[in-house]
Order: sequence, then structure tokens, then C-alpha cells
Amino acid sequence: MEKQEKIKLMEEVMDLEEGTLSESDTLSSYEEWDSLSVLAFMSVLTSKFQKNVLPKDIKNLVTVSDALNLME
Amino acid sequence: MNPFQLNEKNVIVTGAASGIGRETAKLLYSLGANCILLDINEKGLEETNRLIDKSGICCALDLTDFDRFQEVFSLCKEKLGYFHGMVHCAGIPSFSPLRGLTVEAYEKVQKINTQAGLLLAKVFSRKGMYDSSKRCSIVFISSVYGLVGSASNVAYAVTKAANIGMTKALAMELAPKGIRVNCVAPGFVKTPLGEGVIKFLDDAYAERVGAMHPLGWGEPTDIACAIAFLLSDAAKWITGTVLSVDGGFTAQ
Repeated sequence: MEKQEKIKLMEEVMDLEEGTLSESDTLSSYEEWDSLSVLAFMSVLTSKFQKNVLPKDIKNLVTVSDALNLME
Repeated sequence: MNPFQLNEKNVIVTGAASGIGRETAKLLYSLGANCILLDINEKGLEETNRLIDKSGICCALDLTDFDRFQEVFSLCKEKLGYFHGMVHCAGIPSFSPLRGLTVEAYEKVQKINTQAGLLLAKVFSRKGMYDSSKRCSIVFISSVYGLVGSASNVAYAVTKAANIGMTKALAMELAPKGIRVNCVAPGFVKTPLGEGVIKFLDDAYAERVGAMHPLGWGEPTDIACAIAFLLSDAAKWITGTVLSVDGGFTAQ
């Protein structure tokens, strides 16, 4: 999956408008990065990338780039 | 004769490798049934079969491999004879808010929780598969979440609500064949699936879930007892029903 496609997926996960996120953004600077976003991201990781990650591991992510690195 | 007994009944149990499926197989065996145990987990099946004195027929089957259902049923029928009951216990959870729901996740939960049950019922109810000279019964598993709303759970809820619709439609369609169709709607039960969901989330969630059940968490045997009842002749005038077994969850 292309990087731009992954960013679009993160925007969907965080319920943000398309074109909002940049790789260098800090996740915690968005109020939308909440427990529902964490749950949504975990679901995407499992179903699209066959990765089972725990909520505490997701909460340790700092930047959007960190999240994209998990999407492989 | 005790109407709760299941002597000489050949019953197919999906999801038999663990949780509600395993407990159901154990109870049905103790009530006299011959069990056909289906699950993708071969080791789990062997363990369940050990618990029922190796009396069952085990078949490792991926329930999304729909094309194999006829072949598997035919092989089991050759060994045991006509079927009298089937219970579709296999199921998987799907925890995600709508925005995290993917086509892949939806299709997977839908295939196992609902579509497999429907296609298994199709094979079960074919002429020459079920015992047309006796009363037969199919039991599906729904959930409290097929009856009441819950956030971040839509895909699972869709499948469990679908199982209720499937139960009622098939009850009407299969009544002329003497096949009853019912479903059980469990609350949270201490199974690998239920506990996995809790582990996936957090301890506070586990406490909230416990508080939603006036009688506390359920045990797999609570659900197995309801299934055994619906499979037995004690329920011979019951079809198309949803039996809530939820410690009072939906009484509120």
C-alpha cells in the first residue's frame, strides 16, 4: 500500500477530513486521536495488515509516521 | 421417556474445539447424543473428543470453505446415519467503530457467524441427510448484541441480528419437513472468545460488562443447557424463537 493511501486510511480511522494529516504530525495533537480511534486503528491493522496489536502499544505511538510504520 | 434425553440422536456441533461448542458437545454426549464435532482447530477438537470418551466424529473444517460442507456431511452420515440436530456455535467477535470497519473484517465475521450457519442448514435439511422419520432441530447462536445496541460492535451485531432473522425464516420454511429452528442469545460468557474480547480492551470494560448482567457473567454450560433443551423433544412445539440466556442483561 502506498504511503498516501495509508495516510488516507489514518484520516478515516481518526474521523478527519481528507488532506488533514501529515507524516510528521503528533497524534496526540489531535483531539480525534481518542480511544475509538485506537480501536478503529487496531481493527484496520488486524483486517488489512494481519497484525494483532494491543491498545497499550497503539497508545505508545507518537507521530503519524509511527502509525504508518505499523501498516506494513 | 425423559423428553430431555437425546439418546440415539446424531447432532452436529460447530465450534466444538472450545467454549460454548465444547461444553455443548459434553452435555449432549451426557444426554445420550452422538456428536459430530466440527472446527478449524484440530487440536481443540481432539481435546473435546477426549472429554466425551472419544465417542465423537471429529472433522477439522474451515467454516468459510462452504464448498466442503456437502462432502463433510456425507462422510459423517456414512458413519453415523441420518442427522437429528445441528448447532452452529462457531463465531468470532469484531470490535471496531464504523470508521475502522473494513470490507475484509466485515466479510470474515459475516461468513463465520452467519453465512456458514445458513449453508450448513441448507445441507442438513436436504432429503437424505436428516432423519425425516423423527423430530429434528437446528439451533443458531445469536447474542444480546443482536437484540440491543452497542457501540463499536456493528459488524458482530449485524451477524447476530441476522441469525435471528435466519432462525425465523427457516423455522417457517423447514416446519413442513419436521425440522424446528431456534436460536439462543447469550450475554457475556466466560469463554476464550468472551475473555479474549475483554483482554483486548481493558479491566474497566470488564467491570462494566459484569455490571450489565444482574446475575453476573455466564458460564458456557448455561448456554449449553439451553441448546440441549432446544435440541430435545422437550422443545418439540417450539420453533422460530429466540431464547435469551443472559443473566438478565436484556431484562433492563
